[in-house]
Amino acid sequence: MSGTRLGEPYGRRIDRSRPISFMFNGRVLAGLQGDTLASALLANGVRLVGRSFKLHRPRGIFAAGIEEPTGIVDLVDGRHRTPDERATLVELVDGLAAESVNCWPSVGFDLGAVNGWFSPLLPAGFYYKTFKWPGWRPFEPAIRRMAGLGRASLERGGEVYEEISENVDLLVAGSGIAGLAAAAAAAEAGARTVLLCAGREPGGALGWRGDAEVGDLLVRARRAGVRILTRTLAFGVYDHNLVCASERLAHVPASATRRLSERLWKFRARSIVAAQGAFERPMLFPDNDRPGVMLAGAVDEYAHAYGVACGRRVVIAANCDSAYRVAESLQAAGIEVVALLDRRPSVDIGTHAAGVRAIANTGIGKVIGARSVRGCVAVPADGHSAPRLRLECDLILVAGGHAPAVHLHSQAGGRLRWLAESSMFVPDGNARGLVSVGACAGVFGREAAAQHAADVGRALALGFTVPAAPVGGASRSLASSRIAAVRGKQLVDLQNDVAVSDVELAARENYRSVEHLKRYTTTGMATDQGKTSNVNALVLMGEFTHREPAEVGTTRFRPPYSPVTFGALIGRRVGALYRPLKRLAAVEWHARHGALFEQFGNWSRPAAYPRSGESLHQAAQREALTVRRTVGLFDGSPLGKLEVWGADAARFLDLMYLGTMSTLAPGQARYGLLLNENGVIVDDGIVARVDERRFWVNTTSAGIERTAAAFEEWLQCEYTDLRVLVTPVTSRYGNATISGPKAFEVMAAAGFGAEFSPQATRHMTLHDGHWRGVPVRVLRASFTGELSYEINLPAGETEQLLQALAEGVETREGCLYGIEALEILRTEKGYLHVGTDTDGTTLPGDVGFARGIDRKAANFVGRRSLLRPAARDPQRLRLVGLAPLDGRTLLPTGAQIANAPPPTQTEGHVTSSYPSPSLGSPVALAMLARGGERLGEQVTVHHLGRRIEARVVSTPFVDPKGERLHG
Amino acid sequence: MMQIPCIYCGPRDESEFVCGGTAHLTRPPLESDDRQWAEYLFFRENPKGAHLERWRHAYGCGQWFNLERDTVTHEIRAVYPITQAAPR
Amino acid sequence: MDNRLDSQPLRAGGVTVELDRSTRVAALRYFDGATASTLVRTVLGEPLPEVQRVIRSASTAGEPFILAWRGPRETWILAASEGPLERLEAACAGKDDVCLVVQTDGILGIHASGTGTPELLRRLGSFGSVPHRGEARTGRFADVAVTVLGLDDREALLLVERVYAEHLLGWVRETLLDMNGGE
Repeated sequence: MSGTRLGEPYGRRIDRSRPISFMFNGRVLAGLQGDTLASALLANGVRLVGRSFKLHRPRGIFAAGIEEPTGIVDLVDGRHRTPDERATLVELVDGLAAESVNCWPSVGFDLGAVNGWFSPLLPAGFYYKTFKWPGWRPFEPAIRRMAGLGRASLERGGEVYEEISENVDLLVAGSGIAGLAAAAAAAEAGARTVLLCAGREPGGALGWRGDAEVGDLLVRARRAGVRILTRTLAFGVYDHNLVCASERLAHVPASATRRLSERLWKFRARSIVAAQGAFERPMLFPDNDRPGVMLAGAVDEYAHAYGVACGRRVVIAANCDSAYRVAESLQAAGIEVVALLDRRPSVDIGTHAAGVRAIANTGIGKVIGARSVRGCVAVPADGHSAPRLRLECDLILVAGGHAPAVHLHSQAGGRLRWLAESSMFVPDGNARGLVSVGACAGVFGREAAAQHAADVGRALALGFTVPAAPVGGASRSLASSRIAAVRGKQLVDLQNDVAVSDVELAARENYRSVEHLKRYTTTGMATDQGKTSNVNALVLMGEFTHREPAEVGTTRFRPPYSPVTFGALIGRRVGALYRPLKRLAAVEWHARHGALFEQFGNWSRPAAYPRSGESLHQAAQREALTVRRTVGLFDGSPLGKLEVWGADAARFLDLMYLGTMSTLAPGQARYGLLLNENGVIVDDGIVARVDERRFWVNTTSAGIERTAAAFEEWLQCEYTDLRVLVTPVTSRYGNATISGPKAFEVMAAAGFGAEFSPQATRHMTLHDGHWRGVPVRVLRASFTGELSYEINLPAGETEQLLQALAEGVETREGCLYGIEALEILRTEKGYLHVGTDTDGTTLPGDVGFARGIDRKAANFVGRRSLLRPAARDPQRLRLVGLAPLDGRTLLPTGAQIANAPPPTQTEGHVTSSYPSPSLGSPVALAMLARGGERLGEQVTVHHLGRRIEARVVSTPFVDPKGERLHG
Repeated sequence: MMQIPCIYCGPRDESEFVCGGTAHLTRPPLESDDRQWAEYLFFRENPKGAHLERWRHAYGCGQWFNLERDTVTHEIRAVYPITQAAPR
Repeated sequence: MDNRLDSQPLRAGGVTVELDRSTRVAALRYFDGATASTLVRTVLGEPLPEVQRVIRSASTAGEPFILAWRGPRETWILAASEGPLERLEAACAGKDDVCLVVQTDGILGIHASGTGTPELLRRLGSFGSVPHRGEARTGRFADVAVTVLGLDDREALLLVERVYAEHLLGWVRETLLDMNGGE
């Protein structure tokens, strides 16, 4: 029997009066309120928890905290799974169900264990040398199935996440004696202080022993106003003292449809104190990964905090003095310490555990028991001399020394130095904005740690110089605990199955740098991020390459310090809030009229208005035909709108656009192309002059931010003397666009006066007026090629206008039309769509604006780039029309054009392509090398193995003379 | 995520800004040769250390300004108006 | 999830959030703050606010208004009635150094009040963007640019481009659902 509850006063965190029922691998077990899943499993004598990643070796619980490498489970909640949870962090609740990972059909009988038989063929880096013939693809499905540990859920659970920002004077990460001392002192000196505690209760390693001083510090801290956040782990330090922490919120029953599961904290702190303690190093010996081998400090914590005896007869493999304190502690709890095997050549006088048999210069040569420790064989440190001592035990504790948690210090840019005596890396001075205290600073004596931490807290609060850390207090520890001459796998990284032999292999194959060691062997790359393996690994690499650990160094520390749920980083940005989506003022009106909404750029807008039984495609075809035959109504509100005002507005717009705007008279409008300094088209639009110093600029729906930003950049940074003010007004105005032969008839029926008629107005003119008392700004411009009016008015009146126009549209057997129909119509006319027909290389000359460049006298953005040789290259792609030879086949958008069979240089590609309901055949636009000279030529369009013959034709396809624009 | 000190609005998260790259670039005139023009468009010094650069407070006041940032430590050492010449 | 702009106030976590559809908004644009301030003082009786500040009209004023700094060349005017905007527009007519751009329907106000207001705001944006009383701060809230006016310690007005109002409200709604007891 190897797991029982200890009586009072053991079990500080549990409540014996509140039993909890939970399931593990389908078996119902009992625990207590306050247990973690790990402590409850250990209390039930469950040793076998999972299988290791590569070799499927049996695995159990190894530690008690975030460094847990092997006690990994999936939590199952109905149809929802939370994969790869560390059992040491899972708070036990009623009804919890957990399953082992990486094993099939069960953890007890796992077919994957055959990997263990092949382990000599599977050393580090084996996959670089295998899976090559006949190629790696046949192996991929199998590898994918074998990779990973847990299984993710395919269903959304009810979890939601939030993000919260805060500014503080002092952020303390870690609530042990040092963290509490620093926080209390700082708050008492007036600093707004927040203390982060990763566990359920503050207090750290002394807290669960019921330490009185820690209790007092906690009271002092609270009284001084320190805000303590529990279950909150600081996982990263970023630029300018940003600390990100993840708070796991208390469990809510599975029946809840919505559960705030985790909260991301973003603290900007004037100063940061790192007080995260130190991890324990494992010992290296053969089969040191067997269930029943555990960290000494963890076993002590299970006894004191959870009242769980992880075993009844223990052997301790030690490389430091703290093992002796643990031995005494366990003895006092009634657990027999069979022997303490000290790997160090001699033990200091004074290091002594009463009643414990301690043998120096000794280690473990063999572990007996594969699924559960049953005993071990102690051997002298040289590995082969006598005596060999066989010991019966059900638990082996490893106490290899300590490794300060220097992660936050390192993330903040701090340096490290190696202490040869105690074999650990400690901070070398402070990082910018971050001070380490306590064990993570290398200060192991409790009085020294508490005093230094208090001094630091006070100094940071008052702006004084921070005292240096009194590093010391950790006992002597050997750098390496391995015994060279014994046989058997000695594991370094327990989760990824990296053994001493793998490190030796890496050294032999010349992957000597610590960064190569990591990536070649995968040591430290598992979900525990090497918290219990990194130091052992780099020390070993040093041994094999005759270097000191300091010379080998550590890999770069990057956030997160411990795994963080993706959901917490994403926060609210899911579903409809995934990204900011722009919405129409008349959205409900459109919905009532059958609009099918889709996302176009960052707008949600009607793609079409399908009638019953119609597909989107059919609706778009009908709508496009109807616009040309009678009339259509469209919501053009997404078009970008800018008010450009000032004495220099005209001059400025000449600078910005290709197309001369300064010659516009009030009421006139002109099409323009916006270029960047590379001469590339980034937007197009219509500029209309309202009066002497006011212009109304329409941009593309997707380009408004880009264009407004470009205008501001030029005005603020370059043309600072120009008196121009640019104000975006896209949201302010709604836009109803009426297009088609009967466009004005509909407007008149809705109450628009004769001053707007096609006889009284001209194409590309702007007219301000009123409609039903509402101010309107009417632009005669067309993207459909039909007589078109864009009626702009205060956004709140859009629905009213749409309703009035829709009634006239209906009586004339017109229709509402959406974006899909608009794309068909403009493609029939050969009109450019920036971003569809153009890309990041398209120059004005490529799309037919060469003459505009030469004609324009004034300078404009991008002009110089248009004079480059590449801009004048006759081989450039040019916009052309394409029609399939058979008059039927739709040319796929993006299809490549090439007259020679592949492999060959492509001559261009199809950019826009739609079936034309007006022509009864497909129309397409394409970018084609020397396109302007190839009118009438036959070309081959290639797409996924098909070849379609097409002819280069002139555009527009419909109404080539553009007569329909005038109504 | 850095904290950028907007010249009007004070220190804000980097996510409120757009970085405009190296500051104090001189645009060659229309008559410049292709090499000069290409260097202006594409060639930049990539200093390890002090870098003068432009930023715009896109999610705030919308204003451009200059600052000096250390490209290694990200320390921001000076903030000054966009029209002002380079310090020292 | 329903993101529609409905008029029902949202209440949770000690904060009430309400859409404000009645406030008229305009942007005063100018090259020189001092000249613009003189004009505004003449028309409305208050100068332009300093950087990142808000000025509220005196309670004795017949038609209340709020002036909010938006940039070195821009101040927003919010009013419950057309009067202040009309008078300003008239005063700007024909001038070549100051103009008024009406933004009613283009900028929407979302009013938050109650003890939970600071808790709500720091879940939408980061610390430097949340205004104190008397401040107008424009920053990134719910991933969009929002100008927040600190009307009081527990009262704020969020001004957002109307096209993004549903997105902002959706984020607020989600946040309030989790704020029942406060933090």
